Amino acid sequence: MKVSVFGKQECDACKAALEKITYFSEKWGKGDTTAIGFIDMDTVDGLAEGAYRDVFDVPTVIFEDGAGELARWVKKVPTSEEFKTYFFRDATDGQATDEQAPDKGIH
Amino acid sequence: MEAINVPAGQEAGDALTYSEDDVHKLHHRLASRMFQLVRKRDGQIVKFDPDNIGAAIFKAAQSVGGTEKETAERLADEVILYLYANVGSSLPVVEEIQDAIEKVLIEQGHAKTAKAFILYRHERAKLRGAPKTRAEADAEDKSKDLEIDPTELALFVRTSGDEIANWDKQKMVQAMVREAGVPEAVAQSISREVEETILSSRVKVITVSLIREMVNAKLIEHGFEDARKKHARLGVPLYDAERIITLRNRENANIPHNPEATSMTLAESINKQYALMRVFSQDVSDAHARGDIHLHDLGFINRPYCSGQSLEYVKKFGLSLPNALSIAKPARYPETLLAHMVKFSAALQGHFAGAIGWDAVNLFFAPFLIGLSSKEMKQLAQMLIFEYSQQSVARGGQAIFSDINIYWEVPKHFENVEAIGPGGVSTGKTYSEYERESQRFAWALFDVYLEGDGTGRPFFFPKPLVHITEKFFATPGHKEFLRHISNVAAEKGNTYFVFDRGETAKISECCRLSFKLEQSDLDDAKMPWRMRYSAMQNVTLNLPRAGILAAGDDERLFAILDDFFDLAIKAHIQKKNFIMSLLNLKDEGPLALLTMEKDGEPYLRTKRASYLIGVLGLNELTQAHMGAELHQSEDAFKFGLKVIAYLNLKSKAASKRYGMKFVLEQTPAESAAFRLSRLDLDRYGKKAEAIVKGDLEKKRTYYTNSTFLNVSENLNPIERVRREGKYHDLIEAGALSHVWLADSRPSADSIANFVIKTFKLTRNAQIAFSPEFTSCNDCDRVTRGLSQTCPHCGSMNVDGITRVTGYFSKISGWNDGKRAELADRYRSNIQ
Repeated sequence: MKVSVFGKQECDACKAALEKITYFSEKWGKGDTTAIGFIDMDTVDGLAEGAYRDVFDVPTVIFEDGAGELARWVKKVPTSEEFKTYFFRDATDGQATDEQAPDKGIH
Repeated sequence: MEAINVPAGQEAGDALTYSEDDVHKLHHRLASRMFQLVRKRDGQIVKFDPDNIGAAIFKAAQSVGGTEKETAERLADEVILYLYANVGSSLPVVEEIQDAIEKVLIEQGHAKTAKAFILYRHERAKLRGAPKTRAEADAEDKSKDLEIDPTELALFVRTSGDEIANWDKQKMVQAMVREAGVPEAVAQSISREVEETILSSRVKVITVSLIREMVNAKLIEHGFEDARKKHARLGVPLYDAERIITLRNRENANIPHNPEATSMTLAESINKQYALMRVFSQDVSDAHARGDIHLHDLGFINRPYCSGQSLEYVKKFGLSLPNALSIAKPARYPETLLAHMVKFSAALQGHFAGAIGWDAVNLFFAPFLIGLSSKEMKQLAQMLIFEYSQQSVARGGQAIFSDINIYWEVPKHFENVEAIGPGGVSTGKTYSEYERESQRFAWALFDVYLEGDGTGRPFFFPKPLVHITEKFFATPGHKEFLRHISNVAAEKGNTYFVFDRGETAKISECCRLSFKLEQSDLDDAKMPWRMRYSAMQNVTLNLPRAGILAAGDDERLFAILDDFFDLAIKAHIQKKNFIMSLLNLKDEGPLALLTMEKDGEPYLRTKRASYLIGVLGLNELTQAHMGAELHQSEDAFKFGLKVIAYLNLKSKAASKRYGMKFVLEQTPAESAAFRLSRLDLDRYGKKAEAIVKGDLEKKRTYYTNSTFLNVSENLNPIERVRREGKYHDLIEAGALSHVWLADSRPSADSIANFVIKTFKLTRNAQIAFSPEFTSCNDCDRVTRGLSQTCPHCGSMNVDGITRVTGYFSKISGWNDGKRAELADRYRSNIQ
């Protein structure tokens, strides 16, 4: 599992999103299997990466696995309920649906 | 003949050497024995006296400040020797002696004395009143030869008369001192040198431009290079002027070929030179000339770049322009409002280099359209489009580069705004209450676009830009309207689809420029007449050159981009300062119209102006730097994004630092793509040959516009739009993707679906579909696709028509680079 939080240094919501996802991944025992990254949109590489992935607003949170993007939240910090399902996809054998993955982009 | 003595210290038979003094003595001895007699004018023969020649020369020399009698005597000896060698008689006549004096004086570098002697001789001849001998006539001609053409002298003192003025070298001195701050002593010295050169050249007519250039050459010789620049003369070589007057201008396909246009091109030529010499610093001008950057519209240096505004300004304040012969109160009828809008556009065209855009035209017309029948509505729409389309009587015979922004819905920021109606007063309603009239007018406009002009050709202007927003899709009737405008896009290509996602709102214009509305602008929307935006200047970076120079080294590449970027910023600051200096002249200045304050602020709100950093040839940058074009590798595509992200952040940093709004723009590059490719080919040879596009053999080359993918690449059109759209959020001042249709004619539904997909599934900011047409000038019929001959009547008198960069035009007006691009374009067939 890979989680990307696109944000900016002065964006409190961005930091909150990162802290929240990090906290719950640890709490749920998924810390070792989840790579959580903060992509700073104020840097060249971050801005370029955001453009490549059609991210322009912050915060944008993207969950993905080896098969591609699972869910995306734009300009909001997802609730733990919203992203919990993606941490337990293997255990529950559940598949994230479009309803669970708002603003899913095309790639 | 007297024998020559061997100089002291030398033996007979040695190689002899003589001092100057020895030579003079020898010549004097010889001269004193050459002639015994001379024939006077009246035929009388008298004794020849060599001293008379020396005396005449010395007298002439004294009249111009000479004091050396010995020199005069020495020159007299030379005159006698010349006479002996050339007259072939032992009895010279007076006129022959005088001719010889002139000849010797000029050849020996005593032009001023020669001139004085000639004038003296001429005066004497006149006093004698005698019929002119041939020699006298010659002397008079020579004297005339030395007169200076008056026009030039007038120019030296900056008068504008076409009069003949006498030669006065003091005018050179005055010009050097006044214009260039040259010390007077130096100016005097230079003027003397120039005068001597002119007199010795024996030219018949000399122009002020030539005199000025001679002075400039002397300024360089004397080490006054800075003064030389200030003293420079701007002008056009005769050859160039003749070409401009006779041949079509291909730098801008929107410039016709007529006397007004050629006059504008000639004026542009002077403006360009002025810009590069006076507005921009040497390093900036050199960078432009070298091709590191491209300074757009130098021919219109005395005005800002482009302007976007609201019809509310005209509705509220009428038409009251500085220096106008008459003032019009706010319009009461839709036709009057239309006339005001068009007139004001023409006035603005004279004050901006490029596009004149109007926001939400259909909405702001709406309060004037209550009760109009469909027929009347369409008639008004037709008038509006034809007025702009045929407005080729304004600046330089050019049609106004005009854009009308159109909304199907009432934009959120105008929903609760009080509507201005006839007479410039509030109607007591908000704009949300005029949605129906607004929609009817929008529909009627596209009815007219669909029909085309009198022969069915697509209208070139005004460009209709329809904003596609979330609210658009939530507004009743949007499906039908989308189908309508898609039908126009498929049939004529006019429609531009501008995507405003989320909270984004903007005014679009020019080839792809847009002004994104910030919170302060949305606050202004409550008083829409305040919504006036402009770009001050556009400076484009030659990205392919950075790629060539970096030779694959990332660090070097970004350092070069830094250099180019810094030059662009410097250029912007210099242009801004120049425009501010003109604006500060207020009513007395050339930009008085932009300083008028109807609503408490100048029309040109300089604090809100944008400063455009154009990007050109990203595709060739990655090709040079990584060996792959943007479509050829994911790494190249990502690296391209990194370059644009880098420039985006640099623009933001520069904005913060200088308090100016620097924003990236996709360069229209109608001429820059051609020019920069040629400069790189000249400078970098094979390295440039490896990346430029077009026909190298015929020198019809170009760089790919802005951040576009290679135009010749066969890409699925939606994929192209999606991929190109990934750059668009980084290019805040406007971006566009083209779908080249050629002769294919997709259905309205196909276009509408394409538009919906683009809006919902990509980040693309704007798309346009471009069909191609052949218009016959003999049978007036228009056919789809480009042909050499008319398919109907077989005539070869045809015009090809399609989109050049961001607007339709006749291909015959395109430059070689754009023609090469046209040949390369991959045409898509939308299903």
